Amino acid sequence: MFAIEVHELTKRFHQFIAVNQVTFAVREKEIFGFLGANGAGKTTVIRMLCGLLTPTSGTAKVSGYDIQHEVFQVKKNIGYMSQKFSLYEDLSPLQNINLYAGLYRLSNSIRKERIDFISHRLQLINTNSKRVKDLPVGYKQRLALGCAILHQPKILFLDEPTSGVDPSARQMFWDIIYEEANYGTTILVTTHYMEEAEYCSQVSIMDQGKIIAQGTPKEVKQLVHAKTMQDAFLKIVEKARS
Amino acid sequence: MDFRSIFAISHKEILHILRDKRTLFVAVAMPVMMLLLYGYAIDMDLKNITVGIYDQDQSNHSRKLLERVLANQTFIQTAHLTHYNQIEQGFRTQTFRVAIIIPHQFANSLAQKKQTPIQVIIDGSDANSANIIMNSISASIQSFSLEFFQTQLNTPNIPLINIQSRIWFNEELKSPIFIVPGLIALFLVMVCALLTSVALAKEKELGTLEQLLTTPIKAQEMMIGKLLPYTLIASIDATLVLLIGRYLFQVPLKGSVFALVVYSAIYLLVALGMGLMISVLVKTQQLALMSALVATLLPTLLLSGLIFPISSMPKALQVISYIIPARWYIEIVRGVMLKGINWFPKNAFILFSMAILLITMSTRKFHQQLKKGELTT
Repeated sequence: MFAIEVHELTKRFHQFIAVNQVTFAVREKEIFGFLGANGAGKTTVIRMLCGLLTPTSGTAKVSGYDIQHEVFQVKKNIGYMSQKFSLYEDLSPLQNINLYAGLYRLSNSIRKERIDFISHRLQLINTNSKRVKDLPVGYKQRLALGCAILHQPKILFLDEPTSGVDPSARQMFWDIIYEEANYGTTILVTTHYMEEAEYCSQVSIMDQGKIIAQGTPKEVKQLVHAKTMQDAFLKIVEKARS
Repeated sequence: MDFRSIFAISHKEILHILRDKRTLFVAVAMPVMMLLLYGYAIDMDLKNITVGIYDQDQSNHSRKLLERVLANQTFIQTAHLTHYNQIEQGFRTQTFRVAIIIPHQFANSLAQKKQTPIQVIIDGSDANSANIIMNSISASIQSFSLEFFQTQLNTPNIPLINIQSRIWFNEELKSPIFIVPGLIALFLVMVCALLTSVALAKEKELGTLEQLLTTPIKAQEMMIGKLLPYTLIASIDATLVLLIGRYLFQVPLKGSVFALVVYSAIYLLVALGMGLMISVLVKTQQLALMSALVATLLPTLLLSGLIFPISSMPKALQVISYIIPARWYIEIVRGVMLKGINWFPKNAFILFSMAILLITMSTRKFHQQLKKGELTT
């Protein structure tokens, strides 16, 4: 059973084709890595899958619901952490979390339990007297992740979750991502740190709006006889562009 | 619709407002301060009009005539002229705005029962006041001339038509009583539109809307959630300005308080709806504030009948005035407060329709943008 099925998805902004007939599928409970340089079209794909953008053509199903005609159902089942921090800087972390708990319509008991869990697991306690804008970047990223997993979504979209975060915090991030996957969440994550691709069960490399390679990290490396993911990525992109 | 989403949005919005004390202060204090300022400044009563007098006759009669003109507080004499040159001089230096010239032979001419001219020159650069000044002076002189005529004939009871005019609803023709209800309408629409105009525009600009839109929230939940806290602030504003109008400017309240509250609530909804519409259409806070100001301030000031009577406007402007919410609300406020009329079904219906139209149109537009993914960049 697939959690995400994408078929020839295309997004055009005027003359510019951001996403060009992309087809892929993500199995349930999988960590699916989306690799690519900035501007490759990763974010545009994710935003279409979250119902933030309408595709120009093609279809996609998220958790079995059509992203164009069943947006409301799609949104109920996903969590999204955007590349750009987009929570409220003038509120405290807890006030932000409470807002999303309300928007995801959590019942009072579940709300309390989840907020407790998240503030402990993401080490967000002791920050609630502060406004978000006074917190360091790492905290903000964790808070954003917290708001995205608050309602235990079936599918989690993480757009560059570790950019700007120091290495030890990145490790913690991946630990949490693994934990979520173990709970049964399907995860689609974009990154341009190639070593992080090794954590994924499936990867897909995007360049200039197209998917140019797909498979397990091992398969992708073997494709171009590369030792590291970094090496494989460079070779694949070079080949695709020539 | 889910009340939890509405509550979550409203709660967040209230937190924003409480965090930002300056905006809150502006929202509550601005209409109050503006009402005080404008209420006292826009005074169209004529008082202390400066007069220069050139009395060539220096007779008993000429003095009596001048006394009559200067009797009420409308005019004060600021110059005593002895030469014609001084008249033009006086107007140029603004020593006076009116000159009265009583010719030599004034008393003699009256004694001989001849037509006796005197000259009144008025500064016409302010046409409106000039008109009122002229009427006031001619009235004084007419009454003087009538009395003179009666004493000369020794018959105090000549059958003449005597106008017994009465002015209703504002007996002393006080400006504040006329102006303040209009100002209430103006400042309410301005503040409410300004407040709500940034509600969505701010989130678009900061990018926080994107995250909100990945949750299962519906357009109408978002709109209602956003509107509720601002409705509360707007109601506080309305209460304050109505109280100031009533007790500080002594605008009478002859009709029912309940009626006034109900009509004002409908009017506030229109104003909030205008702000919401702007918020849906623009993408930055700056643009939202500018649009809200442009959409409310001048149209309301000029086309609502606040100062200038709608009946004397050109036909085209009269038609435009139909879509100005304040036009309908000012009629109501003046009616309820000054005349004690509580029943304004037409005005209430028009305002209510405007509110419904604005709010549903902006919700629908927002819903479309949401579906098309136009809200994020």
